[in-house]
Amino acid sequence: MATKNSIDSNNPIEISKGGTGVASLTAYAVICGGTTGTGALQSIASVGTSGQVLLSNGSASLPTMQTASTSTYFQELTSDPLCPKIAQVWYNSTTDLYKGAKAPYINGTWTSKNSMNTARRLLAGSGTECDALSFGGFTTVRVGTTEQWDGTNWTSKNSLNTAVNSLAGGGTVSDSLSFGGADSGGVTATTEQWDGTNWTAKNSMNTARQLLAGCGTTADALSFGGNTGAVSAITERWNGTNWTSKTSMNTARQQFSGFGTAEDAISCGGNTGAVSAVTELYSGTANTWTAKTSMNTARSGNAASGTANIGLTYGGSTGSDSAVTERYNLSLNTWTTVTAMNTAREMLAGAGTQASGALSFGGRTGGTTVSAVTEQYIGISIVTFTVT
Amino acid sequence: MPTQNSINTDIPIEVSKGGTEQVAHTAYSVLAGGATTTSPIESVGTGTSTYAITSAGAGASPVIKNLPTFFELLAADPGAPADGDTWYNTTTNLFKGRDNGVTVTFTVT
Repeated sequence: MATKNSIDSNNPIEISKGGTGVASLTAYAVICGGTTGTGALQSIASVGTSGQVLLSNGSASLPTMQTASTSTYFQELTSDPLCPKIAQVWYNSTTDLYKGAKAPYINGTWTSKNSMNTARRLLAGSGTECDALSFGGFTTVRVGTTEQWDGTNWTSKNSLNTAVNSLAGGGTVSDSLSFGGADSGGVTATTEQWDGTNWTAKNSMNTARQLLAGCGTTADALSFGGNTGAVSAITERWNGTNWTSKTSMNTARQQFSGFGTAEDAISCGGNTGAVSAVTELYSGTANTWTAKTSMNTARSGNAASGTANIGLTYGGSTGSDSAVTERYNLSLNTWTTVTAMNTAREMLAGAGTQASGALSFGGRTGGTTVSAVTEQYIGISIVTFTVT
Repeated sequence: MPTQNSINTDIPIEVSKGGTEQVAHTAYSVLAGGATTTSPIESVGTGTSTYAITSAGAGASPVIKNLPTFFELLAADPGAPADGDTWYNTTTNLFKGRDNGVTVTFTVT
């Protein structure tokens, strides 16, 4: 608390002088700009009740705390949403149709989107198909380039502190973790955290690795496999501050991918000396890796996203560039081949939190050409409600 | 409305001295703390009616958005739904609701 200053006034300092223009404000109430009739600042009418949300009442009224509507209305949109999720419903005002998104998962479609600003391979990604982050990678040199995807375009952001390729990552578009890879000094254990604006160096992994895989969040992440100078099965778990060694994978692999959470993660594909279809499930509670049904198509340099229960892997190299996409169902322990990407790529990255949607970006085509290609996968059924 | 006070300054009082460092605020707009690269107090805006103020994460001011609508995800139909309730049964993958005391399934094509 500030102590009393030397200003002696019986009246509040006006807005025009940098004051608030008011002598008191309602405790806990959200503050808004005022009008000539109310004074320079004003509080909303009520702090509301627990669980209510602040909703706009347009440009000529104060917003109000209201009970969030869970299903009493359909969101009105002029076109179907870019990133529909299971159980989402909406009213398409252009077609005049009530629509929704539902399982079971279908073969899906990959749609080409606006490319990244900087073509890169051996990069990492985080977030979802609508809000994603790409970072690091290799152009003709290793880079710390960071770009943010808003569902339509990529925007350049502040770079990693250390340019690194062959890294892994996890998290959200505003809160991500980057770990491992190769920098100017060789294989690195470096960890950096993204806060939505900048990357900050954090405590390093215990074992430096490149071509590793990972998943999770800035509070709880998992890194596994890679190359320390030799192909590795090492697993480490991040608790928000430090990395702790965990049980290694059953099959050492590099240049592969993972998805899920630090508690329930899937590793798939990679290179063991030859391209691999190996799939393993990590249980954080049991601290075990368990072999699962292998992918239909063995490959390395693939990307993946989703949850351990339902996930996707896409692209990679089978000896040549691949566009193959497969969906994993943990309860059935099956991989199902679904619609392939439009552009076969290896050493790409991906984002997405469920099999209903994913974003693939970057990579390499034809063995030499670095790519900025971005594609979005929609893998759920869009249905129309029948009304009478 | 307060009357004019005795402070005489042409420069708005800085945040570090307890002021807002601003000479005006947008009417009805929700205000948020500013970043070092912006004004000390930022205007979030007024938005469109029924839109909600939504976090934009740790590195940005909140934004006012048209939020998506979801049926409640349930593994089984609720035991005692009320009229008007709607939900999505994740076991049967059906959109369902309650109408006049009867549980109904929404027909989709």
